[in-house]
Amino acid sequence: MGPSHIQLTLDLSTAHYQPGDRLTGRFMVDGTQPWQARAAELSVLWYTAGKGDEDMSVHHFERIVDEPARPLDLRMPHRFATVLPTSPLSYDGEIVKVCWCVRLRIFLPQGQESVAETAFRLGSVPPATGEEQGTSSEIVD
Amino acid sequence: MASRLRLFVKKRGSRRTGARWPGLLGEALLFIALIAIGAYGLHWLIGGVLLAEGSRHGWWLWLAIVIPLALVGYGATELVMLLWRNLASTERRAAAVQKAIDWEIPVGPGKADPLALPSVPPVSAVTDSPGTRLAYRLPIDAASGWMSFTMAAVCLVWNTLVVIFVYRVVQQHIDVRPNRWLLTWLMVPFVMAGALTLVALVRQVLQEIVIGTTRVEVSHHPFYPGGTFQGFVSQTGRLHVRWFQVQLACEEQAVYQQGTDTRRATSRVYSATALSQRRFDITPQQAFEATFDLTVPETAMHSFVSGHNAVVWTLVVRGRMARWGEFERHFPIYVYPVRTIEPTVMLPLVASARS
Repeated sequence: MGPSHIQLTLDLSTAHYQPGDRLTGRFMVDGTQPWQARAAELSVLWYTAGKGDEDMSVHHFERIVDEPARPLDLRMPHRFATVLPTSPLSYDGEIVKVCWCVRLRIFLPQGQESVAETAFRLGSVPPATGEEQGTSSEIVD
Repeated sequence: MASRLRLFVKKRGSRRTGARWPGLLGEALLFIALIAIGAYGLHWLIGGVLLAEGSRHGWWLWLAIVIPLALVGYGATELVMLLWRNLASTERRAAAVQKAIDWEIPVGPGKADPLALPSVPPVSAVTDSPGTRLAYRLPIDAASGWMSFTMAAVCLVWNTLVVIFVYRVVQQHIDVRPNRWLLTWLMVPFVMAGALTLVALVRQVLQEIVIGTTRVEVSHHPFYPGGTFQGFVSQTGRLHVRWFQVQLACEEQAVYQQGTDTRRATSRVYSATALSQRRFDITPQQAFEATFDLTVPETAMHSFVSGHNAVVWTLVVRGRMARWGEFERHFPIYVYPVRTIEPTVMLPLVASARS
């Protein structure tokens, strides 16, 4: 069981949203046998990439737990929806990048995990053109 | 094949060459040991010393309880944090942090920033300070002040040590000790370095005094992409200016670990000159004053700040003065992703916005 079995899709095929838009989608796993999943966590989040250490923040978080009363059957599609915030907008800079994504983490027995991710863009900020060439670096600690 | 137990592993940034679980186990055992030592110390101190010997030692001995209590507190806190880090996913922990931030209680009525946006710096640092010509006076970046402070601290510490050593060498000469001339020659580079730090400090202080105050005001704050705003700059001092510029600049900043060092990288991704003047004089009676227009590009990235990364917009005032060389002063401004309703200010706004 790996990420290739997980279907995580957004309803908007372009995956390009504006602040305040409603992001909707669904997730499910392929297969005829139900996965022995203990829990599934769906997050809509942004993280930074580039030269600096990674920062991240979760905008929307859902945790579905396998319970005797409500068994977790991931073969059935699960829908999710959230209203996107005003900031931060997606950004592809020289040394700082802000990336938005929907991430699904499935917790399997014996502590194993399976993760799938779908990226999307928030806002319409074009990549930095790098008008001023050169990056300077200094030791701060 | 199971990997053999390695006593020494190499840390590579945030990754390690060894397996994860022995490290976790080691950390957990360390924190449990701290709690156990602290608890035993507390039992021994209270039961074996303080209560057993009554008030013979006075009240101050009770303060020694702080030591085992600190061990217990530190061990317990770190153990809980270790469990939380390893039982909850990264996203779940980040969501808990976000929820805690959302629950933050504003102190007093009206203290919450009405313009607060996620990961965008608050604008209150600028809007708290009204200008005399335009709506807001921009605060100067504190870096130049820290430079003078650091130079003064280095100069003071170095020259104090040098004076102590020179005093010892002079004493050696008075007592006509052997090796006094060897010590004297050894002191020469230290004295010269001390003199250089002193000269650099004096030059820095004189530059601060002679170049005088730079005041920058803007008609509108926060800025937003596509907007045109009015700016005002005033420069005091007694100077012959070769060239003088005001630039609107955007810089990316990234903090990262490299080995055991913390480094900061910067990259300027946008720069536009809003004002440029050549060859003029500034006198104490007549400060240089000029207005200019600032346009933030329609597709600009907004100001952004997170733990290790930032996109920073600044008004840079730079120039070259006869005899004093170049100077550069930075005034941070904030660009918001959308046009916001401004907080109430004392002066009328004179911004001209395109949209």
